Amino acid sequence: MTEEDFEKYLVLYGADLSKWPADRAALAHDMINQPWARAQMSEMAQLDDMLIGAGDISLDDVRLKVTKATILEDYEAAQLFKPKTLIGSGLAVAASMLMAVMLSMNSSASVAEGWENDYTDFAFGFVVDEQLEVLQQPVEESE
Amino acid sequence: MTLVSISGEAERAMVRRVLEGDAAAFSRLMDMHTPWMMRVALRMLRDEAEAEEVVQEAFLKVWRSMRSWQPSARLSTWMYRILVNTTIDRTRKPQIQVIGEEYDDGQTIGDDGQRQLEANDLKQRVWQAIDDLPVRQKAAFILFQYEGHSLKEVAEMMDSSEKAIESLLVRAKKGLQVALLSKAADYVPEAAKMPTAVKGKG
Repeated sequence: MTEEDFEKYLVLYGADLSKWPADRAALAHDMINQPWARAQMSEMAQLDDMLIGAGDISLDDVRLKVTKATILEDYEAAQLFKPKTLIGSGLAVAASMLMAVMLSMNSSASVAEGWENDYTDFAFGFVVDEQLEVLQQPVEESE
Repeated sequence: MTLVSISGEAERAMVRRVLEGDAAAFSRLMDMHTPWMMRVALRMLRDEAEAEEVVQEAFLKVWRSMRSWQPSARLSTWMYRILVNTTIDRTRKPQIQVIGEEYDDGQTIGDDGQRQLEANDLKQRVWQAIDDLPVRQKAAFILFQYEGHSLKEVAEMMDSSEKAIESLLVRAKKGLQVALLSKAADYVPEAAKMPTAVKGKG
Protein backbone atom coordinates (compact mmCIF):
# COMPACT_ATOMS: atom_id res chain seq x y z
CA MET A 1 0.00 0.00 0.00
CA THR A 2 1.33 3.42 -0.93
CA GLU A 3 1.34 6.37 1.43
CA GLU A 4 -1.33 7.96 -0.76
CA ASP A 5 -3.58 4.90 -0.46
CA PHE A 6 -2.98 4.79 3.25
CA GLU A 7 -3.97 8.43 3.61
CA LYS A 8 -7.05 7.96 1.46
CA TYR A 9 -8.33 5.06 3.55
CA LEU A 10 -7.41 6.89 6.71
CA VAL A 11 -9.54 9.78 5.56
CA LEU A 12 -12.42 7.58 4.40
CA TYR A 13 -12.70 5.18 7.28
CA GLY A 14 -10.98 7.10 10.07
CA ALA A 15 -8.07 6.17 12.22
CA ASP A 16 -9.57 2.97 13.59
CA LEU A 17 -8.19 0.17 11.41
CA SER A 18 -10.97 -2.15 12.53
CA LYS A 19 -13.36 -0.02 10.47
CA TRP A 20 -11.30 -0.45 7.31
CA PRO A 21 -12.04 -3.05 4.64
CA ALA A 22 -10.06 -6.15 5.69
CA ASP A 23 -7.73 -6.25 2.67
CA ARG A 24 -6.84 -2.56 3.10
CA ALA A 25 -6.32 -2.93 6.84
CA ALA A 26 -3.91 -5.83 6.22
CA LEU A 27 -1.94 -3.78 3.72
CA ALA A 28 -1.86 -0.80 6.07
CA HIS A 29 -0.57 -2.88 8.95
CA ASP A 30 3.11 -2.29 8.11
CA MET A 31 2.64 1.43 7.88
CA ILE A 32 0.87 2.27 11.09
CA ASN A 33 4.02 2.50 13.20
CA GLN A 34 5.83 4.97 11.01
CA PRO A 35 6.01 8.47 12.58
CA TRP A 36 4.18 10.30 9.79
CA ALA A 37 1.45 7.67 9.80
CA ARG A 38 1.03 7.91 13.58
CA ALA A 39 0.76 11.69 13.30
CA GLN A 40 -1.92 11.37 10.66
CA MET A 41 -3.83 8.75 12.57
CA SER A 42 -3.82 10.95 15.64
CA GLU A 43 -5.17 13.90 13.71
CA MET A 44 -7.82 11.82 11.96
CA ALA A 45 -8.91 10.32 15.29
CA GLN A 46 -9.33 13.84 16.62
CA LEU A 47 -11.34 14.86 13.55
CA ASP A 48 -13.49 11.74 13.85
CA ASP A 49 -14.27 12.61 17.47
CA MET A 50 -15.33 16.09 16.46
CA LEU A 51 -17.51 14.80 13.65
CA ILE A 52 -19.13 12.10 15.76
CA GLY A 53 -19.82 14.60 18.55
CA ALA A 54 -21.62 16.88 16.12
CA GLY A 55 -23.60 14.09 14.48
CA ASP A 56 -26.54 13.56 16.81
CA ILE A 57 -29.74 15.07 15.61
CA SER A 58 -33.20 15.11 17.18
CA LEU A 59 -36.36 15.11 15.14
CA ASP A 60 -39.39 16.95 16.45
CA ASP A 61 -42.23 14.38 16.49
CA VAL A 62 -44.90 17.05 16.23
CA ARG A 63 -43.30 18.64 13.17
CA LEU A 64 -42.85 15.19 11.67
CA LYS A 65 -46.57 14.49 12.07
CA VAL A 66 -47.46 17.86 10.54
CA THR A 67 -45.17 17.15 7.59
CA LYS A 68 -46.76 13.73 7.06
CA ALA A 69 -50.26 15.23 7.23
CA THR A 70 -49.34 17.88 4.65
CA ILE A 71 -47.89 15.27 2.29
CA LEU A 72 -51.02 13.12 2.67
CA GLU A 73 -53.23 16.12 1.88
CA ASP A 74 -51.18 16.80 -1.26
CA TYR A 75 -51.48 13.13 -2.23
CA GLU A 76 -55.25 13.10 -1.76
CA ALA A 77 -55.64 16.37 -3.67
CA ALA A 78 -53.46 14.99 -6.46
CA GLN A 79 -55.74 11.93 -6.67
CA LEU A 80 -58.53 14.24 -7.86
CA PHE A 81 -56.50 15.21 -10.88
CA LYS A 82 -55.40 11.72 -11.94
CA PRO A 83 -56.33 10.95 -15.60
CA LYS A 84 -58.67 8.14 -14.55
CA THR A 85 -60.48 10.44 -12.13
CA LEU A 86 -60.62 13.23 -14.69
CA ILE A 87 -62.05 10.90 -17.36
CA GLY A 88 -64.65 9.65 -14.86
CA SER A 89 -65.60 13.19 -13.87
CA GLY A 90 -65.71 14.24 -17.55
CA LEU A 91 -68.03 11.37 -18.39
CA ALA A 92 -70.28 12.21 -15.47
CA VAL A 93 -70.46 15.87 -16.51
CA ALA A 94 -71.13 14.90 -20.13
CA ALA A 95 -73.91 12.52 -19.06
CA SER A 96 -75.49 15.23 -16.88
CA MET A 97 -75.37 17.72 -19.73
CA LEU A 98 -76.90 15.23 -22.14
CA MET A 99 -79.67 14.51 -19.67
CA ALA A 100 -80.31 18.22 -19.20
CA VAL A 101 -80.52 18.81 -22.96
CA MET A 102 -82.90 15.89 -23.39
CA LEU A 103 -85.12 17.12 -20.59
CA SER A 104 -85.18 20.63 -21.98
CA MET A 105 -86.07 19.28 -25.44
CA ASN A 106 -88.94 17.25 -23.98
CA SER A 107 -90.12 20.17 -21.99
CA SER A 108 -89.97 22.52 -25.02
CA ALA A 109 -91.95 20.01 -27.02
CA SER A 110 -94.64 19.86 -24.35
CA VAL A 111 -94.86 23.63 -24.10
CA ALA A 112 -95.18 23.95 -27.85
CA GLU A 113 -97.70 21.19 -27.93
CA GLY A 114 -99.63 22.72 -25.08
CA TRP A 115 -99.65 26.11 -26.73
CA GLU A 116 -100.76 24.56 -30.00
CA ASN A 117 -103.67 22.82 -28.29
CA ASP A 118 -104.66 25.99 -26.48
CA TYR A 119 -104.58 27.88 -29.75
CA THR A 120 -106.69 25.25 -31.50
CA ASP A 121 -109.17 25.28 -28.65
CA PHE A 122 -109.26 29.03 -28.71
CA ALA A 123 -109.56 29.22 -32.46
CA PHE A 124 -112.13 26.47 -32.61
CA GLY A 125 -113.99 27.91 -29.69
CA PHE A 126 -114.07 31.30 -31.37
CA VAL A 127 -115.40 29.80 -34.57
CA VAL A 128 -118.09 27.86 -32.72
CA ASP A 129 -119.04 30.88 -30.65
CA GLU A 130 -119.22 33.01 -33.76
CA GLN A 131 -121.37 30.46 -35.51
CA LEU A 132 -123.66 30.19 -32.50
CA GLU A 133 -123.96 33.94 -32.38
CA VAL A 134 -124.87 33.99 -36.04
CA LEU A 135 -127.36 31.23 -35.58
CA GLN A 136 -128.91 32.93 -32.59
CA GLN A 137 -129.53 36.20 -34.43
CA PRO A 138 -133.23 36.77 -35.12
CA VAL A 139 -134.08 36.11 -38.67
CA GLU A 140 -135.50 39.22 -40.31
CA GLU A 141 -138.58 38.42 -42.24
CA SER A 142 -138.88 39.96 -45.62
CA GLU A 143 -141.90 41.98 -46.32
CA MET B 1 -27.58 2.59 9.43
CA THR B 2 -29.33 0.23 7.05
CA LEU B 3 -31.83 0.99 4.39
CA VAL B 4 -35.49 0.53 5.32
CA SER B 5 -36.00 -3.22 5.71
CA ILE B 6 -38.92 -4.60 3.75
CA SER B 7 -38.89 -7.45 1.26
CA GLY B 8 -38.76 -6.68 -2.45
CA GLU B 9 -42.17 -8.30 -2.98
CA ALA B 10 -43.77 -6.32 -0.16
CA GLU B 11 -42.19 -3.16 -1.55
CA ARG B 12 -43.60 -3.81 -5.02
CA ALA B 13 -47.05 -4.58 -3.58
CA MET B 14 -47.00 -1.36 -1.60
CA VAL B 15 -46.01 0.67 -4.66
CA ARG B 16 -48.85 -0.96 -6.64
CA ARG B 17 -51.36 0.00 -3.96
CA VAL B 18 -50.06 3.56 -3.76
CA LEU B 19 -50.40 3.89 -7.52
CA GLU B 20 -53.97 2.62 -7.32
CA GLY B 21 -54.74 5.49 -4.95
CA ASP B 22 -54.70 3.56 -1.67
CA ALA B 23 -54.20 6.34 0.91
CA ALA B 24 -53.48 3.81 3.69
CA ALA B 25 -50.57 2.36 1.70
CA PHE B 26 -49.28 5.85 1.01
CA SER B 27 -49.52 6.66 4.71
CA ARG B 28 -47.51 3.53 5.56
CA LEU B 29 -44.92 4.49 2.97
CA MET B 30 -44.60 7.87 4.67
CA ASP B 31 -44.26 6.31 8.13
CA MET B 32 -41.37 4.22 6.84
CA HIS B 33 -39.50 6.91 4.96
CA THR B 34 -40.32 10.37 6.34
CA PRO B 35 -38.06 10.13 9.44
CA TRP B 36 -34.84 9.44 7.52
CA MET B 37 -35.82 11.91 4.83
CA MET B 38 -36.28 14.63 7.46
CA ARG B 39 -32.97 13.69 9.10
CA VAL B 40 -31.02 13.93 5.84
CA ALA B 41 -32.76 17.15 4.77
CA LEU B 42 -32.16 18.70 8.18
CA ARG B 43 -28.49 17.77 8.09
CA MET B 44 -28.13 19.14 4.58
CA LEU B 45 -30.09 22.36 5.14
CA ARG B 46 -29.93 22.94 8.91
CA ASP B 47 -33.28 24.69 8.77
CA GLU B 48 -36.41 22.86 9.90
CA ALA B 49 -38.88 24.75 7.72
CA GLU B 50 -36.70 24.28 4.63
CA ALA B 51 -36.20 20.61 5.46
CA GLU B 52 -39.96 20.08 5.74
CA GLU B 53 -40.56 21.74 2.39
CA VAL B 54 -37.87 19.67 0.73
CA VAL B 55 -39.26 16.43 2.17
CA GLN B 56 -42.77 17.32 0.97
CA GLU B 57 -41.49 18.20 -2.48
CA ALA B 58 -39.38 15.04 -2.68
CA PHE B 59 -42.26 12.84 -1.53
CA LEU B 60 -44.57 14.21 -4.20
CA LYS B 61 -41.85 13.70 -6.82
CA VAL B 62 -41.55 10.12 -5.58
CA TRP B 63 -45.28 9.55 -5.97
CA ARG B 64 -45.54 11.28 -9.36
CA SER B 65 -42.63 9.35 -10.84
CA MET B 66 -43.35 6.09 -9.05
CA ARG B 67 -44.30 4.35 -12.29
CA SER B 68 -40.73 4.87 -13.50
CA TRP B 69 -39.23 3.13 -10.43
CA GLN B 70 -37.40 -0.05 -11.43
CA PRO B 71 -37.86 -2.82 -8.86
CA SER B 72 -34.26 -3.89 -9.52
CA ALA B 73 -33.22 -0.98 -7.27
CA ARG B 74 -34.36 -0.64 -3.67
CA LEU B 75 -37.17 1.86 -3.32
CA SER B 76 -35.33 3.64 -0.51
CA THR B 77 -32.17 4.00 -2.65
CA TRP B 78 -34.26 5.53 -5.40
CA MET B 79 -35.99 7.81 -2.86
CA TYR B 80 -32.61 8.87 -1.46
CA ARG B 81 -31.61 9.90 -4.97
CA ILE B 82 -34.74 12.03 -5.39
CA LEU B 83 -34.30 13.58 -1.94
CA VAL B 84 -30.61 14.35 -2.46
CA ASN B 85 -31.28 15.96 -5.85
CA THR B 86 -34.16 17.99 -4.43
CA THR B 87 -31.99 19.10 -1.52
CA ILE B 88 -29.07 19.99 -3.78
CA ASP B 89 -31.43 22.06 -5.94
CA ARG B 90 -32.70 23.82 -2.83
CA THR B 91 -29.22 24.61 -1.48
CA ARG B 92 -28.46 26.36 -4.76
CA LYS B 93 -31.19 28.85 -3.96
CA PRO B 94 -29.80 31.66 -1.82
CA GLN B 95 -32.64 32.22 0.67
CA ILE B 96 -31.64 29.62 3.25
CA GLN B 97 -30.79 31.14 6.59
CA VAL B 98 -28.88 28.82 8.86
CA ILE B 99 -30.21 28.87 12.39
CA GLY B 100 -27.69 28.26 15.12
CA GLU B 101 -28.18 27.43 18.77
CA GLU B 102 -28.29 30.71 20.64
CA TYR B 103 -27.22 31.43 24.17
CA ASP B 104 -26.84 34.44 26.43
CA ASP B 105 -23.19 35.42 26.74
CA GLY B 106 -23.82 37.51 29.85
CA GLN B 107 -25.36 34.65 31.83
CA THR B 108 -23.47 33.26 34.83
CA ILE B 109 -22.86 29.58 34.26
CA GLY B 110 -21.17 26.72 36.10
CA ASP B 111 -18.53 24.29 34.84
CA ASP B 112 -21.14 21.99 33.29
CA GLY B 113 -22.77 24.93 31.58
CA GLN B 114 -19.40 26.10 30.30
CA ARG B 115 -18.66 22.66 28.90
CA GLN B 116 -22.10 22.58 27.28
CA LEU B 117 -21.51 25.96 25.67
CA GLU B 118 -18.14 24.86 24.35
CA ALA B 119 -19.66 21.64 23.02
CA ASN B 120 -22.44 23.62 21.30
CA ASP B 121 -19.92 26.06 19.90
CA LEU B 122 -17.75 23.26 18.58
CA LYS B 123 -20.83 21.59 17.06
CA GLN B 124 -21.70 24.86 15.34
CA ARG B 125 -18.18 25.13 13.94
CA VAL B 126 -18.30 21.56 12.67
CA TRP B 127 -21.61 22.18 10.90
CA GLN B 128 -20.43 25.50 9.55
CA ALA B 129 -17.41 23.69 8.07
CA ILE B 130 -19.72 21.01 6.60
CA ASP B 131 -21.96 23.75 5.17
CA ASP B 132 -18.97 25.35 3.51
CA LEU B 133 -18.19 22.18 1.53
CA PRO B 134 -19.23 22.07 -2.13
CA VAL B 135 -22.76 20.68 -2.21
CA ARG B 136 -21.98 17.25 -3.73
CA GLN B 137 -19.12 16.72 -1.28
CA LYS B 138 -21.49 17.68 1.51
CA ALA B 139 -24.22 15.28 0.33
CA ALA B 140 -21.77 12.38 -0.06
CA PHE B 141 -20.22 13.12 3.31
CA ILE B 142 -23.56 13.23 5.16
CA LEU B 143 -24.81 10.02 3.55
CA PHE B 144 -21.55 8.20 4.29
CA GLN B 145 -20.54 9.63 7.65
CA TYR B 146 -23.87 10.32 9.32
CA GLU B 147 -26.36 8.07 7.53
CA GLY B 148 -23.87 5.20 7.59
CA HIS B 149 -24.25 4.09 3.97
CA SER B 150 -21.53 2.23 2.11
CA LEU B 151 -19.62 3.72 -0.82
CA LYS B 152 -21.68 1.55 -3.17
CA GLU B 153 -24.98 2.75 -1.70
CA VAL B 154 -23.93 6.41 -1.77
CA ALA B 155 -22.84 5.96 -5.40
CA GLU B 156 -26.29 4.58 -6.28
CA MET B 157 -28.04 7.32 -4.35
CA MET B 158 -26.05 10.04 -6.06
CA ASP B 159 -26.17 8.37 -9.46
CA SER B 160 -22.39 8.25 -9.62
CA SER B 161 -19.51 5.76 -9.55
CA GLU B 162 -17.89 4.45 -6.38
CA LYS B 163 -14.58 5.97 -7.46
CA ALA B 164 -16.18 9.38 -7.90
CA ILE B 165 -17.83 9.16 -4.47
CA GLU B 166 -14.56 8.05 -2.90
CA SER B 167 -12.90 11.10 -4.39
CA LEU B 168 -15.71 13.40 -3.13
CA LEU B 169 -15.40 11.93 0.37
CA VAL B 170 -11.63 12.24 0.53
CA ARG B 171 -11.81 15.87 -0.59
CA ALA B 172 -14.66 16.59 1.84
CA LYS B 173 -12.85 15.15 4.82
CA LYS B 174 -9.59 16.87 3.98
CA GLY B 175 -11.52 20.12 3.70
CA LEU B 176 -12.99 19.54 7.14
CA GLN B 177 -9.61 18.61 8.54
CA VAL B 178 -8.15 21.90 7.37
CA ALA B 179 -11.18 23.95 8.43
CA LEU B 180 -11.66 22.38 11.84
CA LEU B 181 -8.30 21.42 13.18
CA SER B 182 -6.86 24.85 12.57
CA LYS B 183 -9.80 26.29 14.55
CA ALA B 184 -9.97 23.60 17.16
CA ALA B 185 -7.06 24.74 19.35
CA ASP B 186 -9.27 26.97 21.52
CA TYR B 187 -11.60 24.10 22.34
CA VAL B 188 -9.27 21.11 22.43
CA PRO B 189 -5.94 22.34 23.84
CA GLU B 190 -4.13 19.13 22.87
CA ALA B 191 -5.00 19.84 19.24
CA ALA B 192 -2.44 22.63 19.08
CA LYS B 193 0.29 20.18 20.04
CA MET B 194 -0.69 17.53 17.47
CA PRO B 195 1.57 17.03 14.47
CA THR B 196 -0.31 18.10 11.37
CA ALA B 197 1.22 16.06 8.60
CA VAL B 198 -1.53 16.53 6.02
CA LYS B 199 -2.79 19.96 7.08
CA GLY B 200 -3.07 22.22 4.08
CA LYS B 201 -3.14 19.39 1.52
CA GLY B 202 -5.97 18.97 -1.03
